[in-house]
Amino acid sequence: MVKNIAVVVCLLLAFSGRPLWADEKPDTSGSAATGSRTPALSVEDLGFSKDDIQSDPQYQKDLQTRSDMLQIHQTLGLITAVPMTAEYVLGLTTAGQVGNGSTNTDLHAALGITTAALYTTTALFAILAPKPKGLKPSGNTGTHVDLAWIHAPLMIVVPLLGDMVNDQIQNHQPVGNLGTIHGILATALLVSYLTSATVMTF
Amino acid sequence: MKISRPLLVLLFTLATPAFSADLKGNWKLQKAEMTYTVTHPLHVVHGTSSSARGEGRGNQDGTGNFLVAVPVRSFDSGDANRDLHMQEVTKAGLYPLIILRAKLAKIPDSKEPKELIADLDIEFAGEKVHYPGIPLKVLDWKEGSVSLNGSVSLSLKAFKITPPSLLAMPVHDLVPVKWEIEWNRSSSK
Repeated sequence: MVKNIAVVVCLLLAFSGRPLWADEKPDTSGSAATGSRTPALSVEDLGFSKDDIQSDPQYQKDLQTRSDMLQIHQTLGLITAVPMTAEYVLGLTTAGQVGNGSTNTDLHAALGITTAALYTTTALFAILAPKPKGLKPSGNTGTHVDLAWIHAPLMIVVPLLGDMVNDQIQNHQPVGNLGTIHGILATALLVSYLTSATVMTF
Repeated sequence: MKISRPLLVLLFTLATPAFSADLKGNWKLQKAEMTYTVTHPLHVVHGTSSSARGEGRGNQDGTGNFLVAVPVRSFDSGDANRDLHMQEVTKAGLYPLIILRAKLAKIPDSKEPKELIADLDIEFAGEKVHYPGIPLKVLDWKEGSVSLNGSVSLSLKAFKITPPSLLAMPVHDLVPVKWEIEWNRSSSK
C-alpha cells in the first residue's frame, strides 16, 4: 500500500512540478487559439455598431468647415475686442466733453458702428458653423456660449441707447439718465465680451 | 496496484495549482478606461473614453495576440467644442476607430507576473505606428481575469496629425495615452 502511494505521489509531483506556462504540444482539439489555424482578430467581431466603424466623409467635411469657421470666429473675435475697448474709452471721453457742452459725437458713433459690424460678422461665423446633431456646449465652450447670451442682447441695446442719447444731444435736449444707463450697459457689454474671449479652447 | 479512491482524490487536488498564470485561450475586454493628455502652453487637457472593446487570444507558445479598438468620438475632454476639434484633426470622420494590436511576449517563469511586455501596433488617423516593448503593469491576476494598466506616448507628427492650436500656439507633439483595462477569459471563438 505504502509503495503504491509513493508511486502515485511521485507521478503527481512530477506532473505538478512542470511549469504551467511552459511550452506545450500544439492543441489538437482546436478549442484554444494556435495562431495560424484560427482566424485573425478582427474589428468587425468586436460588436461595434455600423456607425461606430464606418467612414463618414461628410462628417469629416463638416468638421473641417466647422473648424475653419470657428478659427475665423476666434481671430475676428480678438480683432473686435480692440475697437470695442477703444469705443468704451472713447465713450467715457465723449461723455465728459458732452458734459462740457460739446455736441460732437461723430467719432464715437462711427467707431460704434464699426464695432457692431465686426461683432455681427464674428457672431455669424459661430452661428453658421455646421453643428453635429445633439451637440450640447459644455466646459469652456458652454461658458463662452452662456456669456454670448449676455453680450449679444447688450450689443443690440447699447447702440440703440447710444443713438437715442445722440439724438437728444444733437437736439440740445437734456440726456437725463439715458447716458448713465448707456454707460452702465456698455460696461457690462465690454466685461462680458472680454470674459468670453478668455474662455476659448483649442 | 490498488489505491483508495479518497486518497487518490486528495492527492490529485493537492497537486492541482490554484490557477495558471498563462495567456492561453480566448479573452474578452471587460472594462477599459483610456485617457489622453494634451499639453498646451496655456493649459493641460485630459480626454477619457470607456468605450473600448477588445478580444484576445493566448497562443500555445505562451505569447498572446490582442486587439483593442476605441471610437475616436467617444473621448470626452469636458468640452464638446474641443472634442469636435480633436475629431477634426485626427480625421475621425474618415478613420473613426483607434485600433491597437498587441503581441504579448511569453510570460516569464512566474506564477503571478508583475509586468507583461507587448509590442503595439497602433492605427490612428489613417496611420500605423509600431511601439515595441511597451510594459503593461499587472494590477490583478485572478483565475480568468487580468487587470492591467500602461501608457504610451503618441507623437502627433508620427500620425501626421496637425497639432491643434490656440492663439497661434500649438499643443505639444507628445500625447501620453494611459489605460486601465480588465480582461476576462472567454469561451467564445
